[in-house]
This record gives sequence, structure tokens and C-alpha cells, in this order.
Amino acid sequence: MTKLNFMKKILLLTAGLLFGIGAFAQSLKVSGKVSEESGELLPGVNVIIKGTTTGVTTDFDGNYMLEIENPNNAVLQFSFIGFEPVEIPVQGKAKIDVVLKSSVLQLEEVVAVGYGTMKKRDLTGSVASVSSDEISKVPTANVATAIAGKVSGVQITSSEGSPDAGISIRVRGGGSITQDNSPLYVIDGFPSEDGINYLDPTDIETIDILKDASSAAIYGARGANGVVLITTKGGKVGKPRINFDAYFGIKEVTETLDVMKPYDFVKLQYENIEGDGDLESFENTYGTWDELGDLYKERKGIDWQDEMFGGNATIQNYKLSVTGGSKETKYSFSFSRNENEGIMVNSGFERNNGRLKIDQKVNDFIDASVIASYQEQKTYGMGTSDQTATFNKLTHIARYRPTIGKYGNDSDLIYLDEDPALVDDSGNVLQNPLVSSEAEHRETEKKQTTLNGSLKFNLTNDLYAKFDGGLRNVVQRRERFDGERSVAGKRNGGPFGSIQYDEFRDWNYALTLNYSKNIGNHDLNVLLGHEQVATDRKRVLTEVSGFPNDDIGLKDLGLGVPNNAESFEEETKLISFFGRVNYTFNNKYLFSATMRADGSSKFGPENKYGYFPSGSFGWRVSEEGFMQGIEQISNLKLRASYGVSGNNRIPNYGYMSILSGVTYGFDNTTQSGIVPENLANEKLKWESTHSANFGVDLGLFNQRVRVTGDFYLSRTKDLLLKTTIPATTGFTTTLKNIGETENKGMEFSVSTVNIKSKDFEWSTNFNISFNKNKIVKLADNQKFRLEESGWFGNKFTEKDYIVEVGRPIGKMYGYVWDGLYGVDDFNYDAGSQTYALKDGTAYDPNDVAQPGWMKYKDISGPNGVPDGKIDSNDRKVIGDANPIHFGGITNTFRYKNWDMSVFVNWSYGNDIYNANKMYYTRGFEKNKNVLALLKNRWSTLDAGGQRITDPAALAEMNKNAKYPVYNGNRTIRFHSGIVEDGSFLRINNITLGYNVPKSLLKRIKLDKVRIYGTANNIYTWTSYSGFDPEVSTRNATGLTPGVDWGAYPRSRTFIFGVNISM
Amino acid sequence: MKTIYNKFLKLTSGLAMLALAMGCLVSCEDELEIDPKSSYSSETFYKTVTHADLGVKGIYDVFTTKYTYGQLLSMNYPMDDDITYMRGTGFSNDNRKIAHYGSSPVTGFIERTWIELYKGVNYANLSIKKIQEMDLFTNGTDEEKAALNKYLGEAKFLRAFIYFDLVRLWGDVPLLTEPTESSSDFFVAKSNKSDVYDVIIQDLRDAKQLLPETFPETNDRANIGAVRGYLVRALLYRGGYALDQAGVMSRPDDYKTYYKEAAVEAKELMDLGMFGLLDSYEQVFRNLTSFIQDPTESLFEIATYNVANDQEDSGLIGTWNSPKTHADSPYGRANAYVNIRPDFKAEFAMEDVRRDVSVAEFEIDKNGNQKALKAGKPHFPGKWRRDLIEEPAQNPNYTNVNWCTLRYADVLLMFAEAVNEVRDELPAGISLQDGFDAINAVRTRAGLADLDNSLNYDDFFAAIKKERKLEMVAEGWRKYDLIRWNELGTQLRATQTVLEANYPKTTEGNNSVGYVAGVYFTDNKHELLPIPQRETDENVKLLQNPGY
Repeated sequence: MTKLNFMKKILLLTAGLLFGIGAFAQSLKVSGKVSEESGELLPGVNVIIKGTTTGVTTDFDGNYMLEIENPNNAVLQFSFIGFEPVEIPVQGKAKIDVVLKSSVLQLEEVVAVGYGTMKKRDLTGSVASVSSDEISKVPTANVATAIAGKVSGVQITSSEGSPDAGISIRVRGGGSITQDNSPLYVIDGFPSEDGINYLDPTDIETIDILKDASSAAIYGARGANGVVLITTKGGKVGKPRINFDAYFGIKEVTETLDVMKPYDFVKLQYENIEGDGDLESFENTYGTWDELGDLYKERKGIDWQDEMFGGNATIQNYKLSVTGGSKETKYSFSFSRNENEGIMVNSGFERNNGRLKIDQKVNDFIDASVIASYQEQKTYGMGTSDQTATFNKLTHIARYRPTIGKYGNDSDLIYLDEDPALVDDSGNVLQNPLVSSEAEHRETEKKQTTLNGSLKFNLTNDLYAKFDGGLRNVVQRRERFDGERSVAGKRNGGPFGSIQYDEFRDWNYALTLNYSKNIGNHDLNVLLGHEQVATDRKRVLTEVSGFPNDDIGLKDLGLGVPNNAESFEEETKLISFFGRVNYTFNNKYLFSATMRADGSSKFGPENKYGYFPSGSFGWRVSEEGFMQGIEQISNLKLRASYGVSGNNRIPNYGYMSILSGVTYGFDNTTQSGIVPENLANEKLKWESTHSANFGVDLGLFNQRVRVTGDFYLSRTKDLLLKTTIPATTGFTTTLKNIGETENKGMEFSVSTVNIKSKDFEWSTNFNISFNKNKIVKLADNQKFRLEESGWFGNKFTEKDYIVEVGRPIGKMYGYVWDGLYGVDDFNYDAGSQTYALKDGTAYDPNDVAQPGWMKYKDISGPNGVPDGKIDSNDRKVIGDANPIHFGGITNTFRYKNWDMSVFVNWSYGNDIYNANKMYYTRGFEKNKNVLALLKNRWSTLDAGGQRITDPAALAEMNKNAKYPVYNGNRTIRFHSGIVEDGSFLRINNITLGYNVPKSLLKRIKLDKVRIYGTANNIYTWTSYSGFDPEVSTRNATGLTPGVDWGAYPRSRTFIFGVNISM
Repeated sequence: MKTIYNKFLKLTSGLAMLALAMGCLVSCEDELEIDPKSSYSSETFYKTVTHADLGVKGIYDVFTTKYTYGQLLSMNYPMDDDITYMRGTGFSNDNRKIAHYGSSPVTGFIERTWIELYKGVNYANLSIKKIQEMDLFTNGTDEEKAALNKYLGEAKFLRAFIYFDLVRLWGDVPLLTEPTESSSDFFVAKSNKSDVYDVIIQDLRDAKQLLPETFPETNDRANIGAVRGYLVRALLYRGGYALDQAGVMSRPDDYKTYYKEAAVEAKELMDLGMFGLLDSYEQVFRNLTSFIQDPTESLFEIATYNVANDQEDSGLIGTWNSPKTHADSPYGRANAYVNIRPDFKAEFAMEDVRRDVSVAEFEIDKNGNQKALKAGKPHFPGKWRRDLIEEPAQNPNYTNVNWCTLRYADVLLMFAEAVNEVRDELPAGISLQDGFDAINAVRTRAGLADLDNSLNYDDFFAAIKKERKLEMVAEGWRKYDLIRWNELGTQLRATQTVLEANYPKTTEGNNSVGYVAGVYFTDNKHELLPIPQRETDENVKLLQNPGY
């Protein structure tokens, strides 16, 4: 619908220009109001006297007035885009009110295509659009979550549930496998790689996503991962309008991990006793075995997840905007504030947004436009997933002891900084997470100022030149402070912290010449352009330790001892030339071709320039004579395109060898040395995606049913990849052009208007996408390479993903879990009460397996045949992070003044690597809690707490044991038991709104009041055992998706809001 | 009027835009050449003498990580031996896995050590190549040439130093002597350990020529004493036992050649007269805990000074290998992971001054007072005692105490050993008595009587072995001595037997002092570390070490 609003503005303007001429004498003045079925008044409707060029447009309140020379015979034509035209004979009436029926015809929609717009019916590429209606219906702080699940072929996943979680947007699977697979964002003509994070979703008018290479090729080097074009809202002709939107909501955590309660926990600790010293300390802490039942059975203990995530967090959002305009000047000004608490204590997010957009007609041939915006946002709180292994905060929350033991009250644990049972273990960094959340100050503040302007010169009727220029400045201040009570502060002998200050400056300008000509059946449009984009990055980092206390902290770095100061600067530049030709014959045959040349500072002298051509063809079959008799088909278009787009999102200076500073303590002073930082690759070249797209657009029953289908095949060559290499080179990674991947897929979207009557409307939008990714070739003629997700820091270093020719990216690679070693696998020596593995039973040569230990399948030895040993040769593909399909359905209802929408989305067939499960089942770590599923472990203790060694008794006691004995998984291996099905179906959002009737509003001088309630993330069907199946926390390289390590739990939110305009 | 104005505007604006676009066409090429601002590039570095100095100093950076001499190389890999062992009998973390012979190819710390050392190899290779390619190296003034030769020698010493660590830890390893470039072959197979030693020895011989023969200003940069001392050490290891890829402990047939060369090199070093023993054994270690760098006896030290005392560039010396010290004591914490078997102290003669310096039989409580250990509890190394470190404790873990990797006393004992090995074919100018004199110098300082110079080969060898054991407690060489003498397994099991007989068993079957090395050590496997899985995954040419 917003498309319509947008068109309204345009028509209002043009109609005003064309018809806003004076009146004639001696005639009848006819006036009236034009409204739509809902009663909403329609501004900008063309009212024309049939057979003449005389006419007017309705004003902001839908009023028109027209003098008619021949009032008896004249017929008035009312037309407005998106509505069925109406003709009404005047017959001498002085007042004619008209209600326009909306037509579902949407072919006149205009979409942005890069450096210009096009009518949707003329499109030959694959472009998906989301309108502001769809975005603003779901109140959310983030643009990406607002469009998630609504566009076919675009997969949007937030890495976890925190307010500042990274959001990955993948258009058609992402052709590239470099570290950054995200699309290019172009906001009001200004290209940026992260700008979407700063936008207030309600400031957006439209989002158009260029999905195929022929559409994206006009963005050349940066188009390979798709292009997201965002147009923000501007002013509208009419009287000034003030809008006030506010919403308030609360969040609650949806899932928690099931961890052991005190009784099960102490029994596990007892079993974990290894030696007399241990027994003594166990009994001192927890009591004797015989006491355990009395002491702990009834004890609730502390569930740290309740402490950390149990409260209700709030969300508040306020937005005030003023819009209006005349024929010459249109303006829009808005200010919004968003406060978004995280469900973890002491965490959250705040954002203030101010935006001004002015469109000014300078004179007949110059149009000017200026957009200025300012955003500031602050994120605070320690988060859960930013560190690996033992420092990871979710680990602290999940594994902190549930009970303090025999003496004292469990709630004492809440007030103690450190666990008294662990304080002597120097390797331990587990800390009371409540204390950590207070003592570890993490805060990032970003301030962004953007200024865009454009000047359009209408040189002739057919030719215009446009100058677009933009400047963006972002400053970011990142504070980290580990206070006296923090575990890091204690380990480092006092509070320490750092301030990192970054300045990013981007500027661009684009010059375009646009020529359009229509001669008979020939429509021609030619675009020529030149663009330059430059970025400039500066950083200062100061690290200070040895603060005397927490009082002043980072507010005066002078209180501590500076131990590190760094600064850093870099620049990049992209210089481009491009052109596009669109030619349409007879309104049926559409041709388009583009070419772009990009020069980038990121590549060496041999490969500075990249060239990206594309061509496409469309056939509007429904315009053919032979289709005219078929009433049911209102639109049928076939599309085919081929294009090349590129990717240059790699770090700077990869083609040259960089040497940078290190320090060493010679002679009891700190002195500098210089070492090589990277392995230069002077041959680095552009990554290019070659892609073919076939599409069909079908409209039925006067466009009440619209179907779009696209099939694509794309190959990405010379992948730019930060790839791991043998450390014997002196480096662990290097940047390389590494091979070729293929993505092929299908995507469909169907929109239907199911019911449409005066009081009731029901429409449905459905989309589904299938994508298959395949690696075609790797560098150095490798058949495969292994990658590591690295979630466990340096303690678990076995690679856990495989990138293999013929298979997709995202294959998990590990051992096959084969249950547990049973007593039958061993020879028992009754004399020494020891078990020795029977010959022929597969074993780990670096361990001494015992009954109840994890058992893995012996798949292969070094020669490809099973060798009886469990080692790295026994790994295979055990999971795949790629979904078979994903999509969403939105149902929208309107009944009188009520509206409702229900949005459901899903993903099917993807696996999740549940690293949490791997780490939180380490029963051998003393005084640390584990997942409750370990209750069903192999036990070596009988009911009396006696260690059992007798084979028969042991086997009987453990006949149902599913998980290993407390120390039976101490050699950490990634195995199939950790991989879980990540398919889900989620009722993502239900919104119910009520428009207060106009009759009531008139009395209080308001135009519109809508009250609504929204629930987000309402219910998820999934078999996944972790917090949430939509997760991927270790995918910095793009090669290890689908890991759930320390993800912040997701929340359910309930929001109540109101939109008021006057 | 208005139309003319309009036409004028149109014309000028059109021209202006054309000019902008054309302007770029002419000058764009240059604008795309953007050099790094915050770092050197390969084109701008190695131009001046200062650059060479900075490049060589960069190599040292790999030494002070936790994975190298900050912790693992100095205190962790050398355990467990027949004197020291890691506290805690389990395999609950990588430290214990490594010490108790429980590591596997996926033990992360091992991978990190490998990565750090090979980084150092590449840094050294780059310096060696680039310094020789510098214009000043051939065309500079005499002063410049002298300086560059010194830096070249220093880089060669460092490369040898790092390869020596690689080969003693892993045996056969990939041998790279050129800096890596994008066109290099990344997939290098192992070289035979003798070939690696040959490169080490050659580098040290080159360094000996290139470095000035003067008493060093400091002992934390390469100096003539360190170079010559490491040459003696490398020759001794070249001739000693090591595990080969067939899984056999073997030594070269011509091993005596290397002992002979070692004797010659050691003699030359001793004859320089620049280096010697300090009068006081204890002073050697008090220098370390007082941050005094005296090159007389301490020939080479890893410098752990770091203003912030954080993990990077710093070490755990004095907190890991010190008597247990309470966290609230005035000296800061020592968590005492390096234990000494409680029956070891008795091996010292009563009058041996090294006894109480080497072995501490107490803890330090929170008031800073010594507290006697209960009988039967493991002892601690006393050389780097936390309470003797002369600076307020900034950090509970990290200290500025340097790690000495080579002492003159060690050179004397290596000389005695080499002389004894080749007593039947001594090189010119060296007598058997010289060997006795060397060991006696060490004994004299310890307060012991001279050896009887009529000892036969076996008895003299036994005396040398004992002297090394007592002189260098917990200094990181015992395990590697035992390997090159092919005695590690035997000694570990003997220790296990003795401790199990003398200390009561716990319910888990361990001796109460927690010594387990004799149980887990496997002969012909654990003399070497496993090759990190990461590396065998990356490089199919790289084969795993025997037994793993």
C-alpha cells in the first residue's frame, strides 16, 4: 500500500503541474470529496472532464473543486493509481462525492533498480520489494528483523538473542564464501556496508532487493552478494501532518537450559572424587554420602539462568515526525528514541535518531534534495558469546554451582564474588555471573552523521543529469573495564580497562546522465554514470591497568598504568564507470544491458580493475494478441538474465606484505621490534559471480493472485578467502583466490487477496526458497579442506567443518558417536579390579578407556580401512548447516476498524552444532554444574555410594545409561551426538490493531489513531534442545555456520503501541 | 531573459559534470595506489641499519608467550621428570595432559607452541634474507656493515635457537630456511632431525663469526657466549639419543664426532675468559629475582619484562615454580604447579649449598611467613621464590623474572661430559684432566670436594649425570638430558616405584604425593610431542609422530 502512497505523491505533483490551471467563467462549480472504501480521504486523485485536458487533483483532505462549462453533458473521470477509475455524469449536480474502489492491479509499482527507478512491469531482473507498511507493522528496533521471512531468496538470521546481535543477510545463499557475505546497502543513493544497523525501520519508505546478477551488476564489484536499496520517507504535498508513535513492551526468556539441581549435582561431585584429599574436601564442603539425601533432596538451589535472565526487560520506543509540502518544497522531519533492555541483567541498547529530508524544486530544470540524519546508539552489557571456552559468559551462567554445600545458605552464592570451592584453582575463571555483569563494564557508543544531497538537471525533455553526493561520519567509542570484583580484574591484580575510539569517514559522489525517448513502439532509456567511493578509517586504542579501584575508572585513565597504546589509519578507494541501456519494443519485448568497470585500491597493480557486464530479456506474454481472450490472466511475463558481479570485501593491503610493531622486554624496558603481519598475495584478484536467472511473473483475476517464480544458477569464481595454511609457513592464514562455488535454487512468492469486501479483507503473502550450494573447485587442486569454528579457544583444536569439492559449505565434520563402552568390551581382572579393552575393540591410543566411556565408530585408518584406533582418520560429515528450504507466510486481515496480521516463518532441514551441549556435559570438572541430561549417565556408584567394579553389577546398574560416565568424555571430540536437527516453525509475530473511528477523532481534531498490540516470537516448534534453533555464533569466516556456542537466549516480547496523526 | 539564463545554467552544469568525470579519467590510476599508513610494507622496510635492528628484535617476540618461554617451554614441557612433576594427577587441562604424558594431537597448547615457534622461524628467515639483500650490507660504511653483520649473526642465532626447540620437542620437523612468500610451497614434509641439527650447527658457526667477540652488554640479546654455548649444546644433542620416525630411540653411528666438536667449542668458550661462575650459587638466581642482568654466568635469558605484567610479553616464572604462596601475602600469589618429589632433597650432601637454594620445604602464608610443609608433601623449587622477587606484586600470576636458558655451569658440565665421551681420542689441546677441572669448578662452588680423577668412563659419566641433576634442578633440561642419554622411561618408572613404595596409596591407587608420570609414559612415543592435528590436517605431507 505504501507504493500507492508513494504514487499518490508523484501523481499529486504531476497532476498539479499539468492541470492546476485556472478556471473558466459561466459555468457550474462542482465540488466534492473523494475517499476510499475505508472512509480514508484520498488526496491527489485526478479529476478530469472527459474528452478534455481540463482537470484538477484533490487536495490533502480529498476535496476538489472544478468549474464545468457544460454541466449537463459533462462526465467527470476520477482516476488514481491503485484504484479502479470511475466516470460520473455531472447532470447539473454541484456536489459529487465519490468512493473509489481499490484495484488490485499492481503493475504500475515502481521499484528502485540502482541509479534510477523502473516500473515493475518493465523489470527483466529479479527484484524483491518490501514496503513501509510491512516494515512498520511489526515494531522492532532493527530493519533486518523487520523484513526477515518476508522476501523469497533472502535469508535473515540473527546470530543470537541479544539486543545487539549480529544479523546476517544472505541473498540467494551468498555466492561468496569470504568472511563477509552480506549484501551492499544503498541508502538513499549512498552505498554502505553496515548502514542498515543505524536505521530506524519506521523511517523507511521502501526496500528493494536486487537479487540476480543482472540487476546487481550495475553495482559491479560490490554486487555479488545482492544489493539492498533503501529509500527513506520524504514529505508529501499537503497540509503539515504530525505523527506520534509510541510503543511499550516487555520481554521474557523463551527457553532455558535444563541444568542439574543440587541433589543430582552433589551426587555427581561425589562420583568425581579421585583420591583421599578429594574425599576430605568433598565431605568438608558437601557432607558425607549418607547425609546427601537429607541435605539436598529438597533443596531448590540456584538456577543461575533465572538469576540472569529471569526478570522482565522492557522496550520503549517513541517517534515524532512532521511531514508536509507544497509543489515546490516537500519536507519530512522525524525524531525517535528506542530503549531496549536485554533480558540479561545489566544489558541493553539505546538509540536516538533524527532525520530531515527536503525535496526542493529550484526552478524548471533543477530539482534538489537533501537528507541529513544523525543517529546515536549505545549498547551495554557483557553479552554471552564474545569469548571462547572458559571465559565465555554463558558458561559461567550454566555451570556455576547450584548449591554452596553443607554450610551456609545457597543464596550466599549470589553475594559471593567467587565460588569458595573454586577459589584455589588457578585455572578456574568461573565467576558469579551476577557479579561479572556488574563488574565487567562493556559499552559501545556510536554516533553517525550522514549528509546526502542530489541535484537533478533537466537538460531537455528527454535528458537529465544528476549529481549525488554523500558524506558519512561515524565515531565509535568502545569501553571495556574489568573492575575490582571481576574475575579478570582479580587475575590481573586490579582493575584494568581500555577505550577504543574509531572514526570512519565515507564519502561518495555519483554523476549520472539519463536519456529516455519514446518513438512509436520504441522505448529507450540510457544511463551513463561515474562514481567514486572512498573510506577512511582511524583508530586509537589505549589500555590501562593497575587502577587503584573502580571509583573513577575509565573517566580518568591517568589513575592507572598505561600498558598499551595503539593507533591505526587506513584508506580505500573505488572508482567506477557504468552504463545501462533499456529498450522496450511494442510494450512487449524488454531488453536491458549494463556494464560497469570498477577500480579498487585493494588490489595489486595487475588486477586493479574489474569489469562486470550483464544482459537481460523480458517478454510480456499477456500483451500478445493471442492472450487477449484469456480474461483470467491479467499479467504474464517471462524473464531471462545473465550477469557478472564482483566482490571486493576483503581487508586492505592483502596484496602487499605488511610489517608492524611488537614489543619485547629487553634490558628491563619495553622495546619495539617489527614483524611481518600477513602473507602477501600480490596476485589477489576480483571475485566474480556469474549468474543466470529465469523468472516468471503471473497475475490472475485482475491481479488478485500474483505469483513470482525465479530459478537461478550462479557460479562464483576466484573466491576471495582468508584460508588457513600450515603454520610452518610462519602464518596461520592467508588471503587467496581459492576456487569456485555454485549456488542454484528456486524461489516463489505468492500474494493473494482472498476476500475483499467493504468490511472484511483477507490477504496472504507466501514465500519459499530453495538453495543448493556446492563447491566446484578449490585452490591447489585440493579435494577438500578443513575449517575450525574455534569456539573452544585453544583447548579443542580439532577442525570441525569440511569444505569439500562437490559438497556445500557448512558441512560439519567429526566422529560418529557409537554409544558407550559396555563391560562386554573389556576383560575384567578380578584380582586388581581393573578393566582392559578386549582386542579388536576400537580404542583411542591416547587414552585408557573404561566401561561407560564415550565410544566412537572406527571408520577408517590412515589407509582408508578401519584400523581399530580412534583418531582423526575416523571423522566424517555428520551435519549440514544448510536448510533445504525456508520461507514465511503472512496473513493480513481487516474487519471494519480492526486489523490483524499473523506471520509465520520456518526453516527446514538444517543441522545445529550444539557446542554448549559438548561443554556443559563435562562431568569431570569439579564443582561445576552440567546439563541435567547427565542424570542418565553411566554410574560407577551404587545406592550406598560404593564404587562398583563387578562387571555383572555394573552392567545391570547401567543398562539404560545413555550418557558417559562422569569422566568418560574428557577427550573432547566433536561427534554426531552433538549435532541436532535445527528445523523450526515459528509463529513469529501476531499483531492486532484498532483504528479509532474518524467520527470520534474529528471531535478531538485528530486524523488517525491506531492502537495495537503485538506479540513477537510467540511459539516455536522445534526438536532442538538449546535455547533457540535460529543461531550461528561462530561464523566469522563464513565457513562454519550453525554453531550454538554461548548464544544469548532469545526472548518473547509483548508490545502495546499507538500511532497518532493529526 | 529567463530562457537565456536557463540555457546558460544548463550548459554550464552539463559542462561541469563532464569535466568532473573527465578529470577522474585522467588521474584515477594514481588515486587507486594507496599505501598503508600505520605499518611498513615490504617495499619500505629493511632500508636502514635501524630497520635491521627492529626486524631482528621482532624475532624475540615469539619467546615470551604463554606457549613458549612465558610458561610452557620453561616449565611445562620439561615436566614430568624424575625430580619435578606437575601438581594434580588428572588430565583435566592441557597443562596436566602435557606434563603427565597424556597429550594428543589435538592438545591445544601444543599447537600454539608449534605456531609460535614457526612464526619465529619465518621472522628469522626474513631478517636473514633481507639484511643480506640490503644495499648497505655491501655498499655501506664499515660501521654500517659491522652493525648489519652483527644483526645477521643475531638472526642466525635465533633461528638456530628456535629450531633447537622444535627438534628437541618434535624430532623430525619441516625445515624452512627461506621466508615464506605467496609463491612458496606451503606443504613441506619433515626433514630428518640430523639435517635440522646440521642447519642449527651451521647457523651457530656462522653467528660465531658474525658477532663481535666482546663481553656482552646484556644477556637477553644474542651474544658470543650464548652463541658458543648453544653450539656446544646443539652438538651434544646431535650426538645423543632421540626418537626417530621408525619409533626407535637411536643415535648416529658417528656420534663421537659431535662430542669431539662439542669439547673443542666448549674449550674455546672457556678460554675466552670473559665468562665464568659467580662466587655464590644463590646469587645466580637472586640476580634473576632482582632483575640484574649479569652475563658472566647467565649467558642467555628470555626477557619477560612487561610494564603491565599481562600475559603477552610476560611469564609465570616465580608463580608456577615457587613455594606455594598465599594470594593475600605481601608477595602476591604463587600457585606452585611445579612440585619436587619429597625424597629428592636427600640426594644433596648436607654441605651442598645448592640444596636449600634449589628445594623449598615450606609454604608462605598470608602474612608472608614461611610455614613448614607437612611430612610427605611434595616440595617446591626455591630458585625463583615469589617472596624474593624484588618488586611489589602487580599481578597474581605474571612476573618480570627472566628465564635463563644457558648458564656457564652448564657449559662446564657439557664440556666434562664431551671430554669423557671421547676420552680415548681427545682433540688436540684438551686433556681428560680438563674435564675433571670443569666439573670440579662446579663442585667447588657448591661446597663439595673434587672428584677422584682416576674415575673410569662409566663412573665419571655417572658423576656428571648426578652433578647435572643437582646443579640444574627445575631449570628445564633434566628431561631432555634423560632423553639424550636414553634413560627417560627407565627413570620415570623407577621414580614411580620408589614413590609408590614410600608414600601411602590413595583410594584411586595413586601414591599420596601425586606422581603419575611412570604410569602414563610410553617408551618410544612420549619422548616426542605429537604433531598438532591442525598441521597434519592442513598438510598431508606431514606425518604424525610414532605412537600417536
